[in-house]
Amino acid sequence: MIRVPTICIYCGCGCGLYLNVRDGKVNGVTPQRSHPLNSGTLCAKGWSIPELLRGYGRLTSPLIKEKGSFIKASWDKALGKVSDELIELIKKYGPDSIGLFSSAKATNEENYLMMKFARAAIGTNNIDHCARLCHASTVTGLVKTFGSGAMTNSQNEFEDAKAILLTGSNPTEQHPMVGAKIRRAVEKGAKLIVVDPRKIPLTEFAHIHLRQKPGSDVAWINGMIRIIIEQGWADDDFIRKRTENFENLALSVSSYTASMVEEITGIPGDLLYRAAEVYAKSGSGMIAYGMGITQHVTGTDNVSALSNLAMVAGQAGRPSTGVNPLRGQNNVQGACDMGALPNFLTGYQRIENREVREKFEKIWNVKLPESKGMTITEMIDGAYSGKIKGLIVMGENPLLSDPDINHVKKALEKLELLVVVELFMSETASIANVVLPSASFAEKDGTYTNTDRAIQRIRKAVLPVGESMADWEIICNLSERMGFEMGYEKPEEVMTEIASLTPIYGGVSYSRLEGESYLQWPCPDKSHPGTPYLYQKEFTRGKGFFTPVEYREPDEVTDSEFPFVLVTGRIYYHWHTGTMTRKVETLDREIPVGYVEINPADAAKIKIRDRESVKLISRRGELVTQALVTERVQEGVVFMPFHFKEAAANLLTNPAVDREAKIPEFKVCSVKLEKV
Amino acid sequence: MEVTIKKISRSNLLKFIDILCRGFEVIAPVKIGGDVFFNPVKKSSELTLDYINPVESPKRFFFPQIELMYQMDFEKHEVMRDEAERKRKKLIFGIRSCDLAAINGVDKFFTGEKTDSYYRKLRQDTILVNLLCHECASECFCTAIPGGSLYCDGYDLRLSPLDDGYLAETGTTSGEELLKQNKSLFEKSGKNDIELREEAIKKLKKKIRSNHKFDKAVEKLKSEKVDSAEWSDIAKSCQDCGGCCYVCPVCTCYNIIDDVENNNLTKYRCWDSCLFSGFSRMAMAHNPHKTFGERLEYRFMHRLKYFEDRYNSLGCTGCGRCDVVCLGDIGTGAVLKRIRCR
Repeated sequence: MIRVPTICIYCGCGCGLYLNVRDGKVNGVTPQRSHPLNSGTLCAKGWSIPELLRGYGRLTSPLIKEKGSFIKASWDKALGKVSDELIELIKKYGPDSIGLFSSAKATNEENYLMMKFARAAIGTNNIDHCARLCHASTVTGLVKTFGSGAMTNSQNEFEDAKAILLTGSNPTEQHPMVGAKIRRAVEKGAKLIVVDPRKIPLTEFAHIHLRQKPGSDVAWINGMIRIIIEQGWADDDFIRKRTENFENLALSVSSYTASMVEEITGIPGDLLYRAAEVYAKSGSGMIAYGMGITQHVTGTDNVSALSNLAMVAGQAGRPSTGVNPLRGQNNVQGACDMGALPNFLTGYQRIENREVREKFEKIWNVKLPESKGMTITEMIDGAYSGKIKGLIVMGENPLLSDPDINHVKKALEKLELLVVVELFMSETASIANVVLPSASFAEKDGTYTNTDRAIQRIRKAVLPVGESMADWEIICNLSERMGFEMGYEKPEEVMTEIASLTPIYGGVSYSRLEGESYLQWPCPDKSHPGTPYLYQKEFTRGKGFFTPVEYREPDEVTDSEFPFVLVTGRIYYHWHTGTMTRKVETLDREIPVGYVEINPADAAKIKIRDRESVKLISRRGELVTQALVTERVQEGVVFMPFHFKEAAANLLTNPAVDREAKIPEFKVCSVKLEKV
Repeated sequence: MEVTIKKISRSNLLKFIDILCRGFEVIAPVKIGGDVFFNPVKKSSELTLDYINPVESPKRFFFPQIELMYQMDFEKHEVMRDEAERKRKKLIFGIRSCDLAAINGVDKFFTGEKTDSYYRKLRQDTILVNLLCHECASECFCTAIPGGSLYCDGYDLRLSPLDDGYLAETGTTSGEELLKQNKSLFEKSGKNDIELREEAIKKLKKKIRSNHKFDKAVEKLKSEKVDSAEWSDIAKSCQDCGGCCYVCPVCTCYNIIDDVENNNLTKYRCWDSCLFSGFSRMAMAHNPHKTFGERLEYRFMHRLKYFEDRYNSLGCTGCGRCDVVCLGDIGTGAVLKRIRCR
């Protein structure tokens, strides 16, 4: 048996595991006991990886659609078709008629190559990936206050925090290691404040659970800041030395009185007071948040408000403090770091900055497009309006993951060329013109960057299934056919180039990752030990900038016709659009069908019993699913996981976006419920 | 059968292993990264003797996490099996008594009342070389539970660490055979060697019992005096990963997967866990173990009582791996400690 050390494919925790290979097949996984994060543990998804790797449903050869059905094709023919058509489209409509979705499931090296391909081979900045749908507002929100947008501290630090403010995140299910560490912190005496409309497993351990109305976050955060300032709990020393613009913040939050906050959020004033006191006076308090904060039209404001709160309380720049967005995908941090974004090159170097462009142009030997490109949400709209003619989607499934699927489908169908690079025949792949089969994480080398900003190696354990090929090889092949030579023999060479162009990755190399397996950026040079927590001495922008934000309503509010708020989210046993987990018997057996959580009082009102079919209708679409009558949700709020194609929650969701981050408001839309 | 007691020096032991490697697939403790695993070795220099207990028991080698059972081609009417694994002649070197006790139990389950051909083919003719412990890890609790022991029968050959080598005792004719074939490597054992070994084990037992003492907790559990409120309180920490069952050297539950694709049926079996609700869920969503608390209670009762009642073999051998693997810090040791504390 060969034990191949690698990193889990699922969430942003980035757990270390060994793939056990016997006779050329993965016949098991073992959690790495020596791994600094997971220390010999895994969640159900990690443990079930051997089932995923049995290969069921994998695409084994390139497919070209002819007269409505897919025909198997050689790589030569398929890549030839894609490159010919791309060249044709560029000639006809210009390079900005092409869009590219990179992938937070692919490696750093592959994201780097995808972004290089977009900018250097095609000549467009229309490149983005699913971070747009999860933490785009983290970047825009934190850039304003701190100067850069990543998790400030590390997952292990949760265990030593004295207070944890957890909001819009259910880490027990979505970041199981963080969930475990937060529980451990509580058992060691930390105070846990959960701010979430839903009950989550960690509310069992929480000292205070504030149940806000979905979409009211700015109000309770501002309310907490007001209490902290008024009660004299603010860290004056920190504010004076490390921040600016405090007066304007103090002024703006002064109107968020207990009664006003209660009216907007539904949170009782005394509970908010207690939460503010616990957090501010804890000594070391960590804020952790997820998509309950980011996926709103006010996502940027929500994030800025949380960082205002941390700075007022002086909870930053030390271990077990900070503002900690929990990144969802295994490599969503890396995909952002690699510049698979329309406005940034690697390491958050702005594309609009001439000096930055010149640095890349010199190494790549090509002229780069200057103005920022389109986001995922804009590219979908662009496809609909005719601005985007060709789209390459690598390892994403917008036809299930993006808001208002009916609109997405119409948009994608208008494309002249849709190329999907996938492991499985996803919903999006099924409507593509060309499908290219890619190799799984067990079949290639590379690196992932987890939510701790730790860069970790994944290693090839087995041969690719069928004729499938690693994403990086596919991109290099395609690029060469388009006349732009990539010339890499292996992913290691790509990382060398990344390090040379990216200050925060400057000291990263494969040889170093062999010895130090948990290297956290910024790591500017070979002797730098990496950075477990950020902003020890100063923020990226120098002084932290207090950014006053005002409460605004969600884009869609309930009315007599659509009286329920629909919140969408995820569950422990499934992963995103289910392309992987629904083929894993152990996981799919747990929750085999979609459902909607309804409060018992609401269920009684509309006469729906547990497990009965119910119809959900929004202004954009409708679906039928099973009712799960539960106290987990408040009255007036229903919750649906978005994993299930049979009951695709995103048929209902609102495509309205945050004006800065362009992240859609997945967490709030209005629906009505009908008995079927 | 006569028991032969001999002694072997450390350097000769390594030579002995090198000889074994020629005739067997020797599976021995190997350091990989920072972890120690049971893994196949080609020569003695690949293995380590400096270990307490490998991360996992050797269960995977008899009962893989995922195992291809057979493949059927509907058009050609052909059935294919994966034969590579079945042809191997295995020797497990360095197995601790807890894992040996577990194999005895698993053997009874898979080849007792009814024979599981898949298990039998991977398990039969495997030589087991037991190496007694010289040290314990913080999670070890073999002698802290009733019936648990640092000794266990069922080995072909048993080695006990001494200051100047290893005591070798045969347990089966196969073990006897191995000793005979390599006579020159072994010497006569000293007069006090057995005594020295027993003293060392006694000392170790004392150390383990100073770390953990679970007799009363197990008794309380066996007499079903742990109420459901306590179970549901413990279960609050369960993150439903299944890890405790997966690493348990005695757990044997599996699920069957049928993949039908392109005129092919591929049948696998893979490890399962009684902590998953889908494990016990029936039609109409009826579930005899509906809550985490009920499932956890069932698992503990099965491991510490039902299995023993039925097979007259320990269902929990005290290896403590479930405590290391548990995301919720409610492995067997932790739970027994909690039960005792109340």
